[in-house]
Amino acid sequence: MGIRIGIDTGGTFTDLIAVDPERGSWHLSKVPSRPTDPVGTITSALDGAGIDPADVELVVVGTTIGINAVLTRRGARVVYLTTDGFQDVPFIQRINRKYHYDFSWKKPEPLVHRPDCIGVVERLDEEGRELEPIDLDALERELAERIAAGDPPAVAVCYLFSYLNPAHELATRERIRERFPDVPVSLSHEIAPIWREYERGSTVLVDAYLKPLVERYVDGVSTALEERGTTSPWALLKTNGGQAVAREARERPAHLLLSGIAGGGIGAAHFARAAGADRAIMVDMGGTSADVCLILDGEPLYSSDFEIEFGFPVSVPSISTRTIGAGGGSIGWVDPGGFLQVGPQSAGAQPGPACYGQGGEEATITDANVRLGRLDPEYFLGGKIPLDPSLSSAALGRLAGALGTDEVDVASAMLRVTNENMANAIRIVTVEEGIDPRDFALVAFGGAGPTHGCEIAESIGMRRVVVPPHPGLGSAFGALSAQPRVDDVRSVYLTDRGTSAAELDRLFAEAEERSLADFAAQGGRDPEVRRSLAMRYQGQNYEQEVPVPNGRIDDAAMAGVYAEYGRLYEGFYGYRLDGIPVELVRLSVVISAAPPALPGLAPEEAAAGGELRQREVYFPGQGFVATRVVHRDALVPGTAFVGPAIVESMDSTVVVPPGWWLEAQASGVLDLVREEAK
Amino acid sequence: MSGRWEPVVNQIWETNVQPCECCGQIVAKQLWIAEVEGVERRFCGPACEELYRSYVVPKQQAAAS
Amino acid sequence: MSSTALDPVTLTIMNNAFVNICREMGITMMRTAFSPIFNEGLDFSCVLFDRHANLIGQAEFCPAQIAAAVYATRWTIEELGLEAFEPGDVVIHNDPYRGGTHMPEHLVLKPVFHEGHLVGFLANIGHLAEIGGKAVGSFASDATEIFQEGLRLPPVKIMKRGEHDMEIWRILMTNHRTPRNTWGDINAQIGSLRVSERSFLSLIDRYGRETVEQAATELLDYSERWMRNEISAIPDGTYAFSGQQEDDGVVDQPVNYHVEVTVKGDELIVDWTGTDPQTQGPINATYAVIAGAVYNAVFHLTNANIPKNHGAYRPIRIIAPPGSAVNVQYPRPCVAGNTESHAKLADMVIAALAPALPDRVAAGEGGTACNFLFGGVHPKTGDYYANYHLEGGGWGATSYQDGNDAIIVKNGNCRNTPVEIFETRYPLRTIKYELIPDSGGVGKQRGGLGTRRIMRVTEGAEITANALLDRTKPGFGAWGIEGGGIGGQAAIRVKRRGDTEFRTFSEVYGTRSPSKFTNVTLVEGDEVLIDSPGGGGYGDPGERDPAQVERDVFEGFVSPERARELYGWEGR
Repeated sequence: MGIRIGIDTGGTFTDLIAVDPERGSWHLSKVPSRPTDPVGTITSALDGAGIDPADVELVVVGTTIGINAVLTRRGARVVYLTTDGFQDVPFIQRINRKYHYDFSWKKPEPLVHRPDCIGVVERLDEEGRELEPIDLDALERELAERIAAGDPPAVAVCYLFSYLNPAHELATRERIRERFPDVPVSLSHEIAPIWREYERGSTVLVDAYLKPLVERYVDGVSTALEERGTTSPWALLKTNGGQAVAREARERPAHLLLSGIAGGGIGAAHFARAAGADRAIMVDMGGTSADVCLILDGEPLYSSDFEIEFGFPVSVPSISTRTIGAGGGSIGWVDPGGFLQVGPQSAGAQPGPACYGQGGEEATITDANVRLGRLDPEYFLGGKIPLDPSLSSAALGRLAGALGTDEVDVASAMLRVTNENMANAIRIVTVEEGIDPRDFALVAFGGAGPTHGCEIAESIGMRRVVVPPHPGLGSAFGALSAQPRVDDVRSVYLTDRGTSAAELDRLFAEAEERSLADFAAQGGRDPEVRRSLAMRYQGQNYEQEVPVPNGRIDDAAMAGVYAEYGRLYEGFYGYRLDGIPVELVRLSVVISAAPPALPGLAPEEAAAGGELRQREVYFPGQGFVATRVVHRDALVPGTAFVGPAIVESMDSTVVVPPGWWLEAQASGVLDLVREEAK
Repeated sequence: MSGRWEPVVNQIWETNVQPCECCGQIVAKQLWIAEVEGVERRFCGPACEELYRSYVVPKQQAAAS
Repeated sequence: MSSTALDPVTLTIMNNAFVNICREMGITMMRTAFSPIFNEGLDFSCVLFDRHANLIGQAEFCPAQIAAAVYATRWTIEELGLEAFEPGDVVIHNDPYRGGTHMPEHLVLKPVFHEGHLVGFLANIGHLAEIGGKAVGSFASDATEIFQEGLRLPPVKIMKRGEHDMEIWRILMTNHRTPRNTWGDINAQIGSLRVSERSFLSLIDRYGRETVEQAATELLDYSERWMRNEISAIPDGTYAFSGQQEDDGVVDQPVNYHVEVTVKGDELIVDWTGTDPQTQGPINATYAVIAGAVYNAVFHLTNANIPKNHGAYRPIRIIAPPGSAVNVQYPRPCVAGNTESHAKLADMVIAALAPALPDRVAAGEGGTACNFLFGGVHPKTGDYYANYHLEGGGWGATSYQDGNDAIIVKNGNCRNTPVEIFETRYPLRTIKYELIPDSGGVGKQRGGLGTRRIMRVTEGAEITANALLDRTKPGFGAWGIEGGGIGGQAAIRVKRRGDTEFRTFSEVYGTRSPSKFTNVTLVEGDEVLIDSPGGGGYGDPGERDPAQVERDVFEGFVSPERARELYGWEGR
């Protein structure tokens, strides 16, 4: 086995992690991202790693180029083909609004202009039967007119009920290939075979919009890798957290949209498993925001309802990540009612927290952490950014003045408010899934995650925090540990009354055959198959995912599935509704491979410079107390102690409050447990 | 202010609740009875008696003149 | 209770926790309720009260209920008396004359006890799709008294000490047309109380009863202070506005409303004296509806972050003359007041304040949700179904931007039903769903566009339909502000099978109102057209940026002819 490389290209930095499983050795590096030259960014990261290209077995890249192109509206001109009479669906959208009481909110602008929306004569009914045949000649004439009229377009096709019967969409692509071979075509039933025409249409519009750009990117990286002598395939991290060989992945750019975000959940799941915590909540807290992701049975939670902004959905299976406006740069302020609030406004990287000395006047969470002794001003990011604690104090003093208190109180209050805000957000995420979070572990990622992890956990009543090695490189770890994965998720409309086990058996068998072929094409081996059905009582609008056994499905198997549904429902909501028909609305087949075994990342011997120090650190209810400070490199496996303590490393600072036990594990993970829970 | 509280007492067949003569709110449990300009009026509380005196009466007088 | 004030941080944390508890309740209901108007339309509200019946936390799901959630709960607690509540009790109630909005919306209310002490109340209001009465979907657009609108419940215990009272349940089941949905919906409401009760009790475990109670009291003052600051910033004065609805569904003449908003220091008096007497038809507003419309308007004009608790309402005094169209009294009907009147009444308060707050207000919105309710036996399954269909209209322009196209009225925040879901469930096929060009009121900033939908009844189906719209007559469009034009008209019309054009329901079925009618039968091949209204414009159209006019013509939002005529466009 050769070297495996994970790359995460973020907005500011590109992280690279390489592992040589045979030697058990790791390499980590960070280079600045160049948003205008994404290919160059990848090659410079590889050059910086100093690895012999011939030794590389696989490179997996997580990239934000898709989402950035959508956010900055720098994609292709799209022509939208849809059932005649429904050309305005991308403009009408879902008619709800983001806020109840806000005249200033504007609906998202679609990725297509109204004159480029073509109504195609064709119609299917709700069972996929043809009501009206497709008029391909008229379609061709209309498309020819649009092509003649402006920039070369990409075509997105979305016909009503195409998820039940793709014939009209397939015929459309065939005709376009014949007559306009250079025009890329995206079909809605391939990209997102789900009901709801606006959501499916929005998703296929994104796909077409990104296609030319992603093709250029993939060609560019492939060429660059070949020129450097890497002959192995390279892969892209998909929105579903799986990797797929690039030549396949580029066919469905909508599935690459969250490539740059998916890595966090995958990385967190990796370390949660390493720590033996199958049920966990990732909190990836950085400078401006925090991402939250649930991990169930060792895997990140999936959903298909991602929105680029409110009302702008991309309905592909994705790692369900919620972003909250709380980070190190979040600003403390006094609202007009006289209360202290923190965020969501952030000082960002420019001007940054007051202590950066770049002109930031307002007190941020980082300033609060500096004032309370939690961050060492001389060892922030390993000393790369010297902090000026007097500027923190001055900013906090101004805020304290407005509140009639002192700077230490206000700093402590800012941390409490932020931690409670995070805890509330996590509670909402768990209630949405019908989960009680208290027996979950919190996986603390990002520069600020480990600083706040234990106190957020306490607010929720959680008793365990897992801090991965190099918490700042979580997404790159995710790319590295990703495996090929296919999520075949499609809408169905069946009920326990009207659907036979034989029919379900056939549907699952078909889906499995299709997705196994897809999995092999994307470079997967040793497939593991998991099936599930989304069920609800007839009339409800939200579903519960229920596992379905592999192999032949007979009446006994389905009886077991329905029984499991009732059990899961009652478990959370406290009642069940026996006798009401159960609807089956989504059928999923997930094909994945076991995650790769990676060597541990713990230091084998205590590094120099890791000797014990002490400083005064503030803890609520105790004030400033003498606190031990150790360097992470000194924590060889088996090291254990009780807080208060601070563990510092190049990319993050871990706060171990009084009453928390820390133990260093062989995997490199720091395992923190609240004392009464031991 | 010279009003008094009076409990709302209803027979079983009296299924409806009374509104305040100033603001129109429902009075569920007890009425505030006060004399304004020689007429006994039923309010939801002293605050509405006050509003009636300070806002409603002058407005009615202005409209009448 | 201790007299020392809590620190502001604990208060902030408590405020966020109270709101969060209500949000947990709402998410649970959304996931478990049965009526589409409830689970997809999010037509419900969740509230938390202290033990003195003060609202201390509210999650924002449906603006129509911002007042009802307070008054219905508060008055129920007052009417029954604190001593009536025991652990495990759940009270249900939908009486519009007792703080409700209209009868489909049911309040469930649960006392919360901590170690034997009453510590507060959790409650929610949800819209059940069918509660009996003369019309399917319980939306009788031509009702003349409450008894035609469905089953009315005074506050009664549906659960006693943790046990369902099956006697009450059986009365409900017997009087509703789709009892299975009622069973699912009310169970979802009760179940969500249980989920949020868990969180409320764990908050009390962490902070103690005293702290939580004291925080509640102080938070009310905090919101009140903030709201008073906001009102103080509005120039003192009295601001008036008059508006109309085209008819009440029963009598074919306009209904007139009048509001005078007096800003006096840090208080608002919103006086509806001068409004027409309550109508025979069901567009009457209850006290909770008019109060909700006023709060809705004020929240649009003030800081969005004021915690929505009782304190925020204190500085706003409302005068709603009993027996007028804005404060209906027994036994007049009111089902449409909540859905149809609320948005226009709120917009009137906003329009009245335009001279005082020119850069915060917006022109009138479409203001009708184009309620179209229908039911029947599905020809494929043989099951009875009922559906409540809505449309979004254009919103009004502001001084700084065009109004949004196709957005639901401001008293709700429902989504539309995707055509693919709609056709899977109901025997109606959608032929067209599109924007209506030129339907936005003209102005320096343009009003948003309305939509047109055409549906055809499918093979073998027979449908009973009710409708409730407004603004279908000339001159009743959404108003403009500062010289902006009125928005396009709404419409509901029918083309019977074999006919060649769409006609009004009055022409074809002889309904008294063209826009509000009940129990009309449609059969295979019949087509229904629904146009939603456009929004009003803001400012002189002559001042519109030519680049915006050009873009409107390019995208087809404004036709070239109208662009020439109204904006002096010289292209093409």
